[in-house]
Amino acid sequence: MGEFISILVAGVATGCLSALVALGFIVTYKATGVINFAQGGLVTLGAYLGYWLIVQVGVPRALAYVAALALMFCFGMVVERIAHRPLRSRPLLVVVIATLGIGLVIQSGLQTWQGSDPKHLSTPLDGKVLHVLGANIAYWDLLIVLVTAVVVTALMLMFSRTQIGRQFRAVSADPDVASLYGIPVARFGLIAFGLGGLLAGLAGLMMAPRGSLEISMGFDAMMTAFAAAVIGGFGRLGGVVIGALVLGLVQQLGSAYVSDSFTELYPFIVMIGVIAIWSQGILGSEERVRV
Amino acid sequence: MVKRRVLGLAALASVGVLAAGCGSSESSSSGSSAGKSSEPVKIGLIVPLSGAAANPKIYVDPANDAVARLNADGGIDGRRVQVIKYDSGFTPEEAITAARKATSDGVSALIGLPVVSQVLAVKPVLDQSKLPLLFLGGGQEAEYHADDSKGASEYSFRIGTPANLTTESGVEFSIRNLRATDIGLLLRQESAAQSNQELLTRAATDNGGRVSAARVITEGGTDVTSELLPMKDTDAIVSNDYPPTLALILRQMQQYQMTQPLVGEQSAAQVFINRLAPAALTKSLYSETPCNPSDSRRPETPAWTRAYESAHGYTPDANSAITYDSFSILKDAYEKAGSSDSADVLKQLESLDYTGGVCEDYKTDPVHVTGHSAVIMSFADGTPRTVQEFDGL
Repeated sequence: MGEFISILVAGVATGCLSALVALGFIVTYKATGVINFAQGGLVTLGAYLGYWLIVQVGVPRALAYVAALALMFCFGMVVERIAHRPLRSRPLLVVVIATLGIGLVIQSGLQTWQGSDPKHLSTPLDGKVLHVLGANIAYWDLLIVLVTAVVVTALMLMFSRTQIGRQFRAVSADPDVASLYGIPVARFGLIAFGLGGLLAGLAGLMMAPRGSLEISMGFDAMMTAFAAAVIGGFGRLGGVVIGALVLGLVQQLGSAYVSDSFTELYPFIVMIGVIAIWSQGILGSEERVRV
Repeated sequence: MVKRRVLGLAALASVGVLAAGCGSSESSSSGSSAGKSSEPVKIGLIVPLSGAAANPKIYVDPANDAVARLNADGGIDGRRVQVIKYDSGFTPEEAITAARKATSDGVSALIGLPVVSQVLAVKPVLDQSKLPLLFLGGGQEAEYHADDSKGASEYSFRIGTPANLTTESGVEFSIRNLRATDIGLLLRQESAAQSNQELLTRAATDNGGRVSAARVITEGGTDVTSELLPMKDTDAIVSNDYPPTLALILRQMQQYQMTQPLVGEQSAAQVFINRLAPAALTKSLYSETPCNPSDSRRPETPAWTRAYESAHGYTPDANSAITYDSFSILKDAYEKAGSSDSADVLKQLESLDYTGGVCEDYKTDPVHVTGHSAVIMSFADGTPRTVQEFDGL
């Protein structure tokens, strides 16, 4: 029982990390129609910024997290200024490839800045566990789940209950009409990329203490998150979170009880299975017209 | 800080000259037509410079030190030595690309390749170019067999521990020294994972123990719960994975209150050196490695290690020591060959008997393996200590 619960919680925590990255995809996609493949590089950048501020500069931890997230919001906007704004009139594929290129540039830049030897970002919660029904649950994993729940709730409330959220949805539904109503569509694109960067940075900061910081950590996370976004129906926050949780659980439970030979394939097996049955994802997709 | 670094480099250079004097005095007298050339001897360092598990400094720093020492000592047959770095990554494709680039750059020899599949992949490139490769990765598949097309190129020489020792000493140590009966195996995801599992299982049985759980860990994962929990009741865990994964295993062992020892290969030393896990967790960590530069009985090694630490600010591991030694081995072979002709150099590498290394003595056996010892390191008291030596195999 204890072992099953441990595996279950590990699956949920892994899924939550994927959800944070996937939400970054979705926020950007909803506002601009662009799948931002710089997300992987931004995840890594967020983790390294946290390491730099806390370990190398010595900034107090809480302040360092806030500063890292603020910087990540700015980096997200920089990605928009480089890969989206100047290329808006070009085919969508060009913009997507440009974002992927920026992700690789971020990765190379980090390697030059911090070297490619792995690093560790510790937290005060290291080694602290909660004992529940024979399972040892890491407090950090619980924090990951809590942070993801707060972020998802905040995003859902923002999109459904606030003026800016309604404008976001208007931009998402039809940018031309939104523009006619005086909504600054371009500015929303900028903010969406910023939010995407912030969410990627948050995912990187939450991911770093679980493993080691290394240059390609964000790329692996991005691939799983992309599968989660597809499973959930690209564009729907709830669907993406469900997709990410399903993937995290399938990976952990599959590895434990089916075979450990296919652990990295499980997300994509599930993704292919889901879109074969529901072509629009679990909750269906939102129609999107490119800005 | 800068002064300390300069002093460190100076110390390293002097130790290098001293080590060269001790180790290769017998080889410095042979004449060579190559000695008349003013062209530098280019040596390619073909190691992972990028990628998740890459830690280039442990190869690049000793390579630069070795070249500085060789040049201070007159180069190879009077020719200046130049090291050119190539990123081998971790895949066969990257290794082939890097080896081809090195060939087109006109290097005289290659040092590097820590992954067995890469050593096998570059075989056609080496056979065609007749370029000697001193490789750092273990594995029985990468041995050379003159009567068999399988295995590595005849121009490949393993610098370091033989494959059977690399694979089995961790298990043997766990059973004989740590009194473990049930062994858990956490294996790196690679093409040789299945054969490694078979070898380790056989080693456990041969030593009177058994493997009660074996799992393969996905590369780049951030959670090993499902792989680790089946090992809960084992007496020791043996893993051949890379440093980031070993650090993750240690942290999750702490989470699941698993207190048994974790025995890794050379990567385990990197977990300690790079502080990837807190000191409290590395107390139960052991590393199987060709040598322990921090705790060696070889006369030239302590001074080399001190100078290295002073120059680079971190403790050298066996990879660094072997990389450093590889340059001395090449110098020895080239000068004894008396020419840069590949057949002559090959002959010298095949009959290599080099005793001046900072890691160990090197003597080529019929399958082109030159190292013949291994040690088990413990980090329990906060420094890398040798707790078991395997020698003369």
